[in-house]
Amino acid sequence: MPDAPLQSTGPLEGGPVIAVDRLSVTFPTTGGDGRVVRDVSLAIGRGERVGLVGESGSGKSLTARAIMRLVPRPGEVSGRVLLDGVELGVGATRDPTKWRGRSVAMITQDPLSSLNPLVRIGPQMTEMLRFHRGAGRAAARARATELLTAVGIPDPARTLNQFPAVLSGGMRQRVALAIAISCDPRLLIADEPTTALDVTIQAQVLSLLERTTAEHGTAVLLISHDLGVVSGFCERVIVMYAGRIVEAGPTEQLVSAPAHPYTRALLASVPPIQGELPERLPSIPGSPPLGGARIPGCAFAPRCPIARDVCREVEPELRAQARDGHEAACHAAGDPTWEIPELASTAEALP
Amino acid sequence: MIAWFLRRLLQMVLVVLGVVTLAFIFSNIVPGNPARLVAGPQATPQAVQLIAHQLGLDRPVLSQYLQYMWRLLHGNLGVSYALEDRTVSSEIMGALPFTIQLAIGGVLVEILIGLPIGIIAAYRAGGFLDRALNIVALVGLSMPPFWLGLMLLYYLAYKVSLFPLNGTGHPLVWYLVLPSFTLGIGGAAFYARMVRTTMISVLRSPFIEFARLKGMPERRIIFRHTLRHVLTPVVTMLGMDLGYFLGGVLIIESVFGLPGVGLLAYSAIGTLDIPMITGTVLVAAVFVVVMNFVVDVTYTLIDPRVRLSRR
Repeated sequence: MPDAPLQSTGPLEGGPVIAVDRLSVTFPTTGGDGRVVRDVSLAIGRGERVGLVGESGSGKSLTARAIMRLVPRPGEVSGRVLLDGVELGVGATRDPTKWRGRSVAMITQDPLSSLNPLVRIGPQMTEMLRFHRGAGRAAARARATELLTAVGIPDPARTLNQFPAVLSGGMRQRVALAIAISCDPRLLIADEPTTALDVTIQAQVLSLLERTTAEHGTAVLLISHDLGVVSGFCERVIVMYAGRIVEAGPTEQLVSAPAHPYTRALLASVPPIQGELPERLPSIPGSPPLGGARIPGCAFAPRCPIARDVCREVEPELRAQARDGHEAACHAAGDPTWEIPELASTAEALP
Repeated sequence: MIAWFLRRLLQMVLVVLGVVTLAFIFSNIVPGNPARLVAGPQATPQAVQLIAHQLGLDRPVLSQYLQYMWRLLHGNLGVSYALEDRTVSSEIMGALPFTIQLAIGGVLVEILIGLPIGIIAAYRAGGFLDRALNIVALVGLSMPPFWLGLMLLYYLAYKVSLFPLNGTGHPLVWYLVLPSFTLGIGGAAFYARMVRTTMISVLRSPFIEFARLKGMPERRIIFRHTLRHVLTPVVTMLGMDLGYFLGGVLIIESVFGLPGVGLLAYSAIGTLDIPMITGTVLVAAVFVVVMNFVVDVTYTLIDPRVRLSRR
């Protein structure tokens, strides 16, 4: 029974749903070593919601695609991804149609173009149920109607017969979400699911994401550049910079006591929900190194307000911090000899 | 919808009439006297005069034109100058079956060879097979049809008697193979490259990635999610090609001795047979215009975002 470990209730009830072990993505380049994702390791438990945060180009989307084994050519992936203890892409899971969509689902950033414009919503929803679950035409359609109702589409029967073009962006993202959860996956990766939507719709889609995944204990990996969105949704946050994890920990811990200056700067860039907006939102000066370009030492050092010589020479390891489950890759983290500026002033203190 | 159709119909009629008018004007501007060509080189000036009078060539061009258009409105294409007592319409009706067969054959070759090659090349983009097929397509594109036709005839009909050398006196499909291939090969090469380009860009689109994320098998991704997008430009080209082929393809017809509309027009030009020239041009124009219309309607069947009323 090669398929056995892939059923939605895995044998390792207590273990992580997904374990990513030193995942790297390499693109052949002329400069640098071309590794745009470097040794990313993470684990997500059943029903857990984890956020993956970073600027554009930090490698967070590529990490997601590496997990899905859909890195565009000529990118190469190394490292292992284990779903309920079974390595993906090996043996029974060599054929990605055995687990993509049914065990690990993913929705992408652009709801306007993630649905095929020439195919009606109905077949786009039912093809997964029919292919993965072997559902009959009528059963698949009934389930699709159910799913559309669950994601708040007002007239599901009618929507099934419509083409994507007549739906708004928010509606299309709801449909995409309905498709993604249709086979009750173990893990749902949501890559910037709300970035293309306006703010009120964002909140609706996020709460929908929360509700629909909670029902079946689906684990969620939410990818976003917006620490505000992630901290409101996730129990744990992972911060990536230049292809590496630079900090990871429980959301509360990470937001109240960030250990990495980059996380601090990201937090300072989140506009306040209440009170007056500053004249200019704080931003982090400079830009992250381009794909795979390497400098000696810490990749954030050129933009870091507290960088010392050691930062420019030695790359800091991801180390466990004082509190449980909190890790950071910074020389200053947990070292009382470094002066760490106040959280709010970090961004302003930057030159 | 109906308003669109009527407007479109009016447009089509105007285009055809315009083309006919131009054909009429050009045939009259061309130096040479049709009456002399009909009468023959030995004819006396009186005989030429008489024939010119019989054909109505001694009247002002405008009055000839008006008479022609008046008859055209009644479905009368007139009588051939060169082939006495033969009406233009009966000649065209006689030639049309060959032209239609050839046009369909050519278009079939374009699709049956061009589409699969384009799809395979796109799917293996950058690989060995893609590059090999690209070279094949380039060769196909650059071969002049008259040369290819003669080569095929020489090797496959003369040296090895696989196919008939000439004419139509064989079972239908057999005599059509070489001409259809010669006619369609350039288009097939063009289609292959066009399909490849379109398909590569479609394969990169987010909804294809989403289909893969859904765990759909590759076969389904190609046939269900990609191919329809590729069809839009193919249908455009196909409609154009079919319209063009149906107007008669002189070179192919003359190389293979198929008595189609192209040959008819060619011989009519040689004898300055103005009604015949205008008639064949009219047929070609009608086919092109009608096929354009068919293409536009087909779009709406392929792509729900296209609506007819939105021009």
